[in-house]
Amino acid sequence: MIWTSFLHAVCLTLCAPPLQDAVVVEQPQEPEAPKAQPAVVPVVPAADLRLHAERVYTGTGEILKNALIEVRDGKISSLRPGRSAPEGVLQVKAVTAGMIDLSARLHSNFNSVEQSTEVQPHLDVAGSVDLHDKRFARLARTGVTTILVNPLDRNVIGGRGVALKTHGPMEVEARRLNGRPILRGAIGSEPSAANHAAFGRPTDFYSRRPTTRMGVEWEWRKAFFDAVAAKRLPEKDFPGAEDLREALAGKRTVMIQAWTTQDIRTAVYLDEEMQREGFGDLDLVIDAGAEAWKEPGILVRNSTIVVLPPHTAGGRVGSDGAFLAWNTASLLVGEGLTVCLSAHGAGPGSATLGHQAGFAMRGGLSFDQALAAVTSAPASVLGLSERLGTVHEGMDADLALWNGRPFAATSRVTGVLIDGVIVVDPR
Amino acid sequence: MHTNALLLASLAFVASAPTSASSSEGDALAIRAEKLHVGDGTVIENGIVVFEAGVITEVGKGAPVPKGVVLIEHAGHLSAGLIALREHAGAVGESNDSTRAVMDEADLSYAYRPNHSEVQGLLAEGITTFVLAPRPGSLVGGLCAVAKTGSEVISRRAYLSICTGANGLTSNRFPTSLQGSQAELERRFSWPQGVFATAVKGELPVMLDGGSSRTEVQHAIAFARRHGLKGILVGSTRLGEMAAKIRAAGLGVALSSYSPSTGRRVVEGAVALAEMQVPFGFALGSPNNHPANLRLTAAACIRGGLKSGEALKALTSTAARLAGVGDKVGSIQVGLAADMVLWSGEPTDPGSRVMAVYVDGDEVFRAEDDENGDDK
Repeated sequence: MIWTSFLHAVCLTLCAPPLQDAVVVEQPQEPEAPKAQPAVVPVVPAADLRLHAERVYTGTGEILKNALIEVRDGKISSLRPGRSAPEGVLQVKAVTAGMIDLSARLHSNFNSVEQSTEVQPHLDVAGSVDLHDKRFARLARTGVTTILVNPLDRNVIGGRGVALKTHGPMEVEARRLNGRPILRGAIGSEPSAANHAAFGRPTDFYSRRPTTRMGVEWEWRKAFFDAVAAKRLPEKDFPGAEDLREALAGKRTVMIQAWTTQDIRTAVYLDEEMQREGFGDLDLVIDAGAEAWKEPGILVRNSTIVVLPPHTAGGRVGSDGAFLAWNTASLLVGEGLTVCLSAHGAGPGSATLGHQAGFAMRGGLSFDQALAAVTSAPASVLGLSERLGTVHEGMDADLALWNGRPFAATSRVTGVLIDGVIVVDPR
Repeated sequence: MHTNALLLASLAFVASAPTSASSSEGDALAIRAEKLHVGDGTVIENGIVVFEAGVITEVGKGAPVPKGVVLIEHAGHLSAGLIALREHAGAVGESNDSTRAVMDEADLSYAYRPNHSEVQGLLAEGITTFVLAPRPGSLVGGLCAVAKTGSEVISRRAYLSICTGANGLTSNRFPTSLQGSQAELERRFSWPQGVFATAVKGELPVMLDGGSSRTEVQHAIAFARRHGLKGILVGSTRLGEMAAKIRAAGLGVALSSYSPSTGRRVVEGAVALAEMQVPFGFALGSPNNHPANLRLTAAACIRGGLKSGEALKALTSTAARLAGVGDKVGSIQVGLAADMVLWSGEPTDPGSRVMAVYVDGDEVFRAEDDENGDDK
């Protein structure tokens, strides 16, 4: 707690400029429509919800002042700046798109990873998501409106992830966001953590490879090689082979947890080997890539997207003791890489995704870059840019309502809309 | 014990404590109770039940007692023997084969030990029939048996036991995950063979242990609907919250035992299920739960608003119907087995005691202090 307060203080002093902005789009007031117009008045149904914001950070570099947002059927039906607040309308200081966390980790722990074999590309984590888990509501309260849930990283290839809003129908299939499919796996010490050599212990299925990082890497390569072989030899087919081939064909994003330099290397080299073999080109996302800053070049040459883990005061993150520097996000963005931030599902009272954006700004990221890293960039990874990540007419009405400049240490999310529903009411 | 002086039987055997009474060798026997609970909700004042060769032959207020038949006067209540859905008595170590996740042909009747002390302990609480089910820990645990307490197995295919939730997982064999479990069960039920095909046809009910959480129960109900399965849900204290969905799926429920930590949910669940007219009985799960818990759970539900008659039905006739043995046990009706409990008072009143228990017409239990004529 002490260092968290410290971070807040640092943020307050270093990265919280007053509410003044680079790009302000001022639009003239539309003239009032003439009053008495009989006969052909178009019948426009009343908006489900209207709110007025002093500033709307659209996510495309614009800041709309005094904007009136109308919501209908869960979408933003109208967004008009330069309006005075009509009486009785919900008024807020600032609005951003709802934040998106690609590594929220709201799985059901060991019930969410099928450990009977290391490679389970065909299993969908959706079956083990517990929407009644209070962590969903807690996360929504921090302004995170969409998350990607992945299996627990105890397998080499854990299976399919599922993108979900943090509020909505209480059935996963009804809430599932059908964007770009995600195949989740891990490189590092975690996939081999439970495995052991056979002798000296009772025999069970944990007596198996991998017990080392080398074994983990071997399992990845074997899985892809086997999937390619099974295409030619149907008798070698196995569950999940098609998922792996789809990944090689670029139809499925491969999201690999790799904290340290060596594990990030392994992931990229795996992709490059697949390309050399002519098997395909993985659409690669490194999750928890804390040490991506050490060798950004290999990520640049492979156009790899990086999801960073939450910052810590000492910089050490994850079970492998990877080092995440304050300026990691800034450095990677400076290299031209797409970076997403994550709070690993931290709820209110801890370092939330909004705080992570503030920390990254302390490390040099601009406001717009930080906003993108928690909204439009992850929306793009999920293949949902048409619906999520920016504030525009026609987009899902997933909004974070702030009581001041977003990500500033003195600001917080005071209200949340998800699909046009007020999940957290700021009033 | 207060004894009614009026005797109608030709042989005036006036006793509240016969040393032993039996009808199984062909000797008919009759009992008159101050209140006779038939099992369908009706109560007959001073009702007489006559049984011979283990089967009830006459029931009614003025039921004729054949000449030469002993009439036992019982100054208290009489009901059918209680039925515990999902029970492990005497078979804890034998009722779950952990080597494989799917034991679709495992037959629980082979795990039944009628003379086990845990089984005998059920009789002292008026439980005359129970569903012997596998302990959780497998995806498919086997075929549940319905056993008479201390006596015969009367059904070997009451349910196919399935865990769709976390209760079916173990960490050292497939599956270790919910998604793995779901994939396996979907495979088994989408291209059904053997008992799975029978279950999909609706000919073999399932005992679905969804797990404890609401999400797991949702999955279980959806699973049953997807494959058109009939049967009961067990294993969660959340079932009452989903009464409407359970009703829509045409399923029944075996309510979990009352405990101080989950009691409110069990109690409110029973009330909700009764309101939605979802058929339900009570699971016991002895020896982890004391056999008395069956009736104490029902009493707790009554305290929470469940009608006493509904509670007794859940303990007897509804449970019998859910277990597929309603034509054999669960009611005081002509043609059904003479499985009865003589109570000191209202059967669902926790202050009432079991005075005597009959299984197939045999007196198999009698309260010891009854001999002193002291029921307090």
